Amino acid sequence: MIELEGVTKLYGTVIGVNDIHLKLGTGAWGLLGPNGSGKTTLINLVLGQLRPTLGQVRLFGVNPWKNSHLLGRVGLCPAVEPNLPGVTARQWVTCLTRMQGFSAADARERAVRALTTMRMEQALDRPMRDYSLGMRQRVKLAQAIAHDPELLILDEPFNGLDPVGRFEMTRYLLDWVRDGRSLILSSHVLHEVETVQPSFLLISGGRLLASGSPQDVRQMLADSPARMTIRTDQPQRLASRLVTECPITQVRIGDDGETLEVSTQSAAAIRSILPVIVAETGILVRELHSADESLKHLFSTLMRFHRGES
Amino acid sequence: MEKADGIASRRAIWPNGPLATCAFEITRSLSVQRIAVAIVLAAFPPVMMFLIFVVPRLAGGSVNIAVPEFLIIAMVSIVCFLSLLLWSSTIVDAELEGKTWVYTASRPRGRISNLLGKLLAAMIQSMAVTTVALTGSVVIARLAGAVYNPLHLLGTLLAMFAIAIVVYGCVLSFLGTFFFKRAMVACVAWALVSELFLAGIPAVVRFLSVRYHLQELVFRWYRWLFPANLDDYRALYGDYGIWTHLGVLALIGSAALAAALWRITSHEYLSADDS
Repeated sequence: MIELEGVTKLYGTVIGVNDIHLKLGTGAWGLLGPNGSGKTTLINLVLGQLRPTLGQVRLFGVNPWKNSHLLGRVGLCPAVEPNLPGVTARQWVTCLTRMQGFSAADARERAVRALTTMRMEQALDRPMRDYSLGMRQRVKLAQAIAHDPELLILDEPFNGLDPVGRFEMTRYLLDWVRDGRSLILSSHVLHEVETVQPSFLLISGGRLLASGSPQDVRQMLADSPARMTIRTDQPQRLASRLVTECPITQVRIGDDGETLEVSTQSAAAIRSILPVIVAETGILVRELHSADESLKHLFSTLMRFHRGES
Repeated sequence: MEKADGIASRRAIWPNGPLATCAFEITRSLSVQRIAVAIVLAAFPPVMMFLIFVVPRLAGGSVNIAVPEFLIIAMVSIVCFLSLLLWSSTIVDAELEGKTWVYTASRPRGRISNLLGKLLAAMIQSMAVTTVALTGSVVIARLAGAVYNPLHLLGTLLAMFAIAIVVYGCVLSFLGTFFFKRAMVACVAWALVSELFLAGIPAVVRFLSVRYHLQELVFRWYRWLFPANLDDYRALYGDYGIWTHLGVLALIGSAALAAALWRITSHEYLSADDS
């Protein structure tokens, strides 16, 4: 569906994205990264709104910069709020749907249907300046789905939504994915993306840190530097064994005298050797807590690794 | 995939895309603020004509202006140009400022639809304003006894302004796609250099200006000769036929539109929020 080969985008001397290699098939993808990490640049490259400085982008197999007709198969819900104070949702969504090539009558019908799906039927003909942030967010999503695209790209779609709105949005996106359609969900808030259960892309400083399913990234992390916390009755003895048998970079015994904090070049090595040590020495290990226990920890560990703070 | 391709093939971006944009812009122009701007623009020439031709007579004086038609043309030209400046030079800039560019540009051939649709809307709005301004001015001039063949004058000038709006609209939109951050400044600078300075030079270089050709068309259609002697006139303005002037205007308009289309499809327009 989407393929990027060595894509770099420079804004003058500022790097937007840096040497990204990526191949995305159909399905749900979460694009995660802090503000200013290059998520929107990546989306604009995929949609052919930006031309890569280096490398190649392909959307549905062809270069999107030169083939804007592809955009009929994509629905985009950008993060930016349109400034159209006197315009109603019906007018705006109808116009944008008609720009997809539908007749005026078809576009009107589709616009109303999409807005109704987003539960905006009571406010179709009110000027958008009177809408709450959440309502405007729904209208933005309506214009993205009105032409029934194969791929939906959402940039920070949960902004401004109240808890009920978030729940409904999540439910809608889950249904969208269950219908076999593709989704790219961009956000800087991890739990928003997690709720849709996507594979994910982690981007920071314009670089793709990791991609794949959460399991893929966990596996990658297991072979990468990591920080682990072990609660044990003999921290000093355990530390000395680990130092001799594992690629340990740092060991610290906690103030409580029971906690061992270990930084290692390979979490997998510790996991494999720890049962052996326990069996041989009888050291009691009460708890093993590693940074790859949750997606949130994966994210923060990869970010730390990327910053060279491992 | 086949289903999606089938759907896509049943769609007709052309003419739905440009027409959708045009209709949307026309609808937006019906706001109180924009109607007020249009009324002020359209009322300016008739009000000026009233002040120049009618008020002195009501006060018991007399008015002695050699060619009142020139006054009408000058004032309506200003209004026409201002209207185009407002709506056609800002095609890209208004979208970026309003943060709507990313929504329209992410449609199939959305950039082209945007340019053509907004240009068409700008032309329609400018023609409406110009027609009202011109008709009002001619009517007032006729009531004041300043013009003697108002229908001929109105017909000639309406035709000239219709051509002017199309050509100027294309040129200003072209400038707006290149100098989108300072679109109005660039357009005014171009107007000063080309339409005021270049058009007045008695040499072949004035062929590059739009005003020279429009002026020639009005002179020929209205059968004006300044100076009155035909040889003097030809020596000053050249001896080109109406079709030559129409052809050059068509060429200027087409070239400007083609350049604008090339620019809008090949340039990365981004607002601060997009990057």
